[in-house]
Amino acid sequence: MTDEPEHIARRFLSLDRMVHEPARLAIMTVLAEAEEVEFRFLEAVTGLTKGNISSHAAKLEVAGYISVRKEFRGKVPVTSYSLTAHGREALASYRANLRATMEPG
Amino acid sequence: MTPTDPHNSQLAILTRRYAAFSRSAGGLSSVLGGILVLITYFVGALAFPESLWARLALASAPIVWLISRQLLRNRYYQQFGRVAEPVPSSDRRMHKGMIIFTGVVAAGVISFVLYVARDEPALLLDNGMPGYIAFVAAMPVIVWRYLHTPLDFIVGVFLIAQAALVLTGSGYSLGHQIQAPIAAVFFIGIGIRQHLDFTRLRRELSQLGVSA
Repeated sequence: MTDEPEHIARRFLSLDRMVHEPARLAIMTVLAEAEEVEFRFLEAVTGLTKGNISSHAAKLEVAGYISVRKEFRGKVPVTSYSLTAHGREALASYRANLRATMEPG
Repeated sequence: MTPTDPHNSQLAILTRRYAAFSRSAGGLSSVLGGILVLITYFVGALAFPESLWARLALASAPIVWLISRQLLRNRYYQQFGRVAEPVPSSDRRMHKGMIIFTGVVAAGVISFVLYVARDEPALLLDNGMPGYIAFVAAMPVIVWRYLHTPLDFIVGVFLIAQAALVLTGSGYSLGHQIQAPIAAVFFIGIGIRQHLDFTRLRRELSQLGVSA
């Protein structure tokens, strides 16, 4: 049987921890639905603080899951994020793995 | 979505609905576009304005529409921050087709005007002709930059074509370009529905503890 508790535990442990963290999962979920998302919307829709978004986004950027674009609109700095192809794959595979772990037999 | 993350499912749906207002959903600007088409169509066909100022007012319809559309989009429908809607490749291809089509038509019309005026170049400066040529030449650029959906295209191109004609002292007669007023009615209905959806979306975002 492949659904032994050990096997399920192994599957859980093999989940991508970069994606599994709730704040990062929320950020990636939002980015997956758009071509590019401004910082302000992420802050609004996820309810995360500015500092939290910045630090998680920095980790996702280092992992190559998201790309960051900074520009000035007038005198106001604007930061926008988008999911990279690598990030999209990671999110899809995370979801597939989690689903497989949760589904019975 | 996994079966265990309803919050993230909700995030995804909210983002998708909000992102639509960056590109494909016009809301109140679609309502305004539809109303402008109906006004310019019926005024142009039934009560063509003789005075220059009235003609200029009628010809300004596409400019008024495009400016209000951008303002509504930037200041109202994307008030929680800009979120760019993803564009499927089929939509990209269709948009490219619309740009090429208007580019070819504009080039044909301008070439014809230049051909007709080859012996009498003064014609090019007569009777609103510079404005006509400017509108026709701008058409593919406007389609490329602002008109993304088929309804946007029908309504926008009609407004531009009507503006170009009005400047030369003519306009479409009743029964011609009938697709424009029909599309306008759909445009108004869709715009109202989109706007109501946005007001619901705004409430939902506010319930998440969000303020614009």
